[in-house]
Amino acid sequence: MSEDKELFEDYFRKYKDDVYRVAYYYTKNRDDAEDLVQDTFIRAYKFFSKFKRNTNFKSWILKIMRNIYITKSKKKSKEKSIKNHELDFSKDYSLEDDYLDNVTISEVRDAILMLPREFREVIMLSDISGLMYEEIAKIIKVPVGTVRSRLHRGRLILKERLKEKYDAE
Amino acid sequence: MLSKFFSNKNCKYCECFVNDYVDNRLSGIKEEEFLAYIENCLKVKGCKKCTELIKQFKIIKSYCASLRESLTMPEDLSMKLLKMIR
Repeated sequence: MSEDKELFEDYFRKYKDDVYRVAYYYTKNRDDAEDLVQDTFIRAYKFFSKFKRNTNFKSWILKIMRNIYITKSKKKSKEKSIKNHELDFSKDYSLEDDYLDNVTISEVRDAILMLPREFREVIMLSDISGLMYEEIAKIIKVPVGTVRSRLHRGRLILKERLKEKYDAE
Repeated sequence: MLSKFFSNKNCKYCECFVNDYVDNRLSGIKEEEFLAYIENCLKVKGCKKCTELIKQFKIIKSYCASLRESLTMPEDLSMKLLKMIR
């Protein structure tokens, strides 16, 4: 086995679950996630010679994945504009409610999947994948400040959605 | 050090620091200043927006950490991709 193949296999073993997880939160279902993961690793392997050694492989491959996902989404014309989501950020926060203690993991997962992509991706990259703001900024090609504000808004929406669900039950 | 941000009445900048605090991005001094500020906010203005947000965001983060553990690549896909690499 060549040195590159060996190194790529090491990276694959180390990051396959992270890559799969992010794919799942992009595509919202396991079948599409598997396709996206497969396309991502194939492209990453093809261009592995361009990966700078001693840099962050996880960020590099997630950037590849995002590009593939965006291209696929555009082809399917499923890319929704954030303008389609009339989100109300002006509402007062519901303080002193303990609803968050009473939601289930699957409810949180479903609420994340319902978020607009702009917010869903920063939450999954930060809170699920554990990446730094700077790494996320490079992957999604926006300034760090934008990552911070999207994360804030995303968490607020998530919190409100979970509260709505809790109130409805 | 952060007084120019914290003096803002509409709390917009505090909310910025809420995220940085929850994600452990504030340095020791900034973190102390922030905590002192929101404590003062509660005492003086009776505002606990930031403290509640910190609590809620930390819970959301802990749920996300659980989600991290619960989702892994299926073994058959892993084997298939490994074969392709080899």
